Amino acid sequence: MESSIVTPVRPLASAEAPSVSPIAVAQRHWSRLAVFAILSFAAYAFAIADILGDALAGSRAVVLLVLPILIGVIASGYRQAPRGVSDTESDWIVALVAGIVGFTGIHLLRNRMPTLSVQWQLDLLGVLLWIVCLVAVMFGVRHVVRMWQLWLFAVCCISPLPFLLTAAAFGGSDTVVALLTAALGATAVFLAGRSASLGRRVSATLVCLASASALTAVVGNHLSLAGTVLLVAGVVPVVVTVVMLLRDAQLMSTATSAWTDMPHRSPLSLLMLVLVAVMLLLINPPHAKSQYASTVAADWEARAGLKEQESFPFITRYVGADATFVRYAVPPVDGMPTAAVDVITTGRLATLADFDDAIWYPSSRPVEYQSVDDESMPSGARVIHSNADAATDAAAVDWYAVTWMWKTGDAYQRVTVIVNQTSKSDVPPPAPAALSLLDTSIKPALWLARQQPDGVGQVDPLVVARADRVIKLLMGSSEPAPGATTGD
Amino acid sequence: MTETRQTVVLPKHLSASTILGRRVLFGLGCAAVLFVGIAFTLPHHIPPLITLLIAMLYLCSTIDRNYLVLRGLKSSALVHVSDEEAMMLTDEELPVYTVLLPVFDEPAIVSNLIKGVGRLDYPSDKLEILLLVEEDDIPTQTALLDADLKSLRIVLVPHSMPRTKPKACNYGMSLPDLEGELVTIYDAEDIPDPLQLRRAVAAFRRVSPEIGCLQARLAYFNERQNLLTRWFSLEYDQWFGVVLPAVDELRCVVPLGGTSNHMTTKVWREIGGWDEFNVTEDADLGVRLARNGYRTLILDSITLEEANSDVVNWIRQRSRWYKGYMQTMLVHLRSPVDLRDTIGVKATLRLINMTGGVPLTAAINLIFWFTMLVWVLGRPAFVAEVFPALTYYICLVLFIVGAPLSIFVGLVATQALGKPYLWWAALLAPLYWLLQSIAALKALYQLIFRPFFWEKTVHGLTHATASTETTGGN
Repeated sequence: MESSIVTPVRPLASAEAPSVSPIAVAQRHWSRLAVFAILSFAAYAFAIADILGDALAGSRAVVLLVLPILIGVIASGYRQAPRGVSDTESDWIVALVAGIVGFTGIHLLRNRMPTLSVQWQLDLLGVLLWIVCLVAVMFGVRHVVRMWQLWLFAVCCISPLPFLLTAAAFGGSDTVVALLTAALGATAVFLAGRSASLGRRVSATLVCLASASALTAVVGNHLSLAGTVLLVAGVVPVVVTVVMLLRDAQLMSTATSAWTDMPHRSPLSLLMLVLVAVMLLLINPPHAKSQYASTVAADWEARAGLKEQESFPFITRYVGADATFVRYAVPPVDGMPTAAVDVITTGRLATLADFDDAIWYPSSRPVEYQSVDDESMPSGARVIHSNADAATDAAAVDWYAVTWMWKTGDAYQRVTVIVNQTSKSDVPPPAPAALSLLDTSIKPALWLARQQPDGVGQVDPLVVARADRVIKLLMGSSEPAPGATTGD
Repeated sequence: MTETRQTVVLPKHLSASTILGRRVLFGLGCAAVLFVGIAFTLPHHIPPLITLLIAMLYLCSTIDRNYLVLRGLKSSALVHVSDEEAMMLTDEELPVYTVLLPVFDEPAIVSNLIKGVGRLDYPSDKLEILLLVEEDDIPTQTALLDADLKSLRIVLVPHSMPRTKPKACNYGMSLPDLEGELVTIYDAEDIPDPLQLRRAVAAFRRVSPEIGCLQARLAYFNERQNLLTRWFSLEYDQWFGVVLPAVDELRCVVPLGGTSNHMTTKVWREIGGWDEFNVTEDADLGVRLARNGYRTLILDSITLEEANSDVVNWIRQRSRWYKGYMQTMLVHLRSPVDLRDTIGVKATLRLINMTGGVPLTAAINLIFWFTMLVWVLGRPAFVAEVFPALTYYICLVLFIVGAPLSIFVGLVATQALGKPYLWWAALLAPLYWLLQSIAALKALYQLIFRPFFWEKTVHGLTHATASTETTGGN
């Protein structure tokens, strides 16, 4: 039978003044926002805890630490209900379609390109998608569309990889990282001031940028990176935005009318959202930390008879000023392919972990790390190789690598044994190269679009044997001195 | 003496009131469960067969739609009545005309009436304008209190379910003292060509008695307001100016537009009036005209309407239309053999394609696009399984030929209709298809859970600057 429920509409022509008292509005406003915040964070509580843990441990992907704050700053510019017609069913349908398509896409990409997905932290895109769906259902799809600048900002920042690569492009020091986050904070302030006059908006942005830069210079050397970033890209943008909003008379008057026309949502809708949040929490458990970084002898390179062949200073732009990336030559063996040992060393485990899934060697197609569960291998070892069966150009050198983490004294090392897949060649394995956005985004996307076959190719057993032999040598040389502890 | 209402009773089997009742839904649910069970039991046979069937039907549907557009562009079958011919009719020659104006929650009604229906060029003593206002619609009643509206009769429609436009119109037509020989219906915000009623009278005199209805063309006064209004306008210019004349030429069923359909009161009563439970009572009426042996011609006279400029409002409106199309299809397919015997196989198939086929293909679009995305990103084996070679090639043709062809036909239509400024809207049509898919999902949901709910379209969203001058006429 005919339903008596008439969906409330708010035509442009009749955007009426608020009819409820400011207190009631505020109460309604805050309770809905509180539910929204709880659901947003609860669904991905473990992932968020991981991010916080990594950031406090010294990770350089600190943009994630302040991103929720910056999103909140930008969202403060959208306090007025949008004008136009609203429709509950459309909100749900759009949220469902976006959610199903988005989460399916993320799931498929994670399975198809696991290494690249971890590098890009594709899971975090799921957090954003969940928030978008949540806003669509709780506040209306009109809000979602209107807040496109916020989503664009969030998409650009949610994956730490572009941030880390940008920081690397500017030198990669901690100061650069902090200044980059300060610039993002200033951008957030600019976006938050969408209702303010252009002059006030630009002034606030410049004040934010200048004060954050000055603070970086003053306190950067006294605080940890996370502390500095929280101050310059968290506290400063919030303060500047609050001042900007409070000083703007127009915004002052409209603030009281905020959210007066929020769509009605039934308890059943809320229950469904809670169920989805719980489901997301269950399917996104905390990341199992691999038991890597076994403690080894500090002079294992020398004991293994390795000689330093080349160093790659570009690593300081990624892992920090104290980092080194050295290639050690492995003596050739007749009839066996050429091999080398590459070692990245730094005093900060978290910064090294930022690039756990980076691929430093050239490949014509996306390649994947595969875990190795073998007692003859170091703990946490992973294998990766290019596809020697695939057609490629004559200059390309196919390689096979095994990588793991060791700890020597106060330093952490990522050790990679790399072998040339061409057995009868004297050409050494390819040298590591700096990461680029082209290699980590555009090329894989094009490869995906070209619908290339998924086969990873076969590796010559001789190549594997060569790598195993080098690994055995290294493991034999790495025995720690008696009394040293193992594991981390 | 007590005057009695002239009620028209629609036979139950022609009404949407009893489709998809609880029993039917239960049956459909059981059938769906059974079907899914069989599909799981025979995963290598049933799902590929289904996709093949859908792909073939989709291909046929696409070919037919493009054929209709191209045929309509080649030869226009509009009924032209010149201004001179319309004005030649003397007052004595003109019949009494009933104009129905159903309104609900339209406080801006007075200004709309003055701009629109109030400008109709027809002798006031031969014009019965019935403003049908719901009994509990206080805002509209308040707006009408001080209005000086001549030749207009305000009719309060008693509250009852379903609260639909056809119910209000049927109530208006049941008034005992109506004298109209011809009847038409306008929406409150419509701006009809001032000579439209005269043109309709002249046309009815000229055409054969088998013509039961003249549908005036609908166009939009705010078509340049935004991308959505451009899409909307392009779509309906094609529909009324190109497709429907072609459909009539092929002796198939013409689904009527929501307003500006003119017919004799006698025919209207003969075919049973509007179905109060059908949310596109106009399309349904078109089918019943055909089933009673009447044809519908397109009158070359324009009624300007407000193109929907708001995406959410558009989805609401379109979902109602889609729901109504499906209701219409289901009602008339209750006895497919009867339908085929009455209107023929070709017209039956085309009717399905032009009513229920529209929302169903729009919903299927979403599934096909999603499947393509899944294939590109993940290449899961089940996609290869359900798209064997033949299905794959049909879908490939649809994707790389059908979709661009539809865009191209849209571009051709912009030129043919004399609206080259709509070219970029035609190019961006795939985005419009996405909106149509969302509306189709909403329609499918409502067809099951709220079948008779009238999703009210909000009017008055046009910016003042976006409106163009009323051109009227032909």
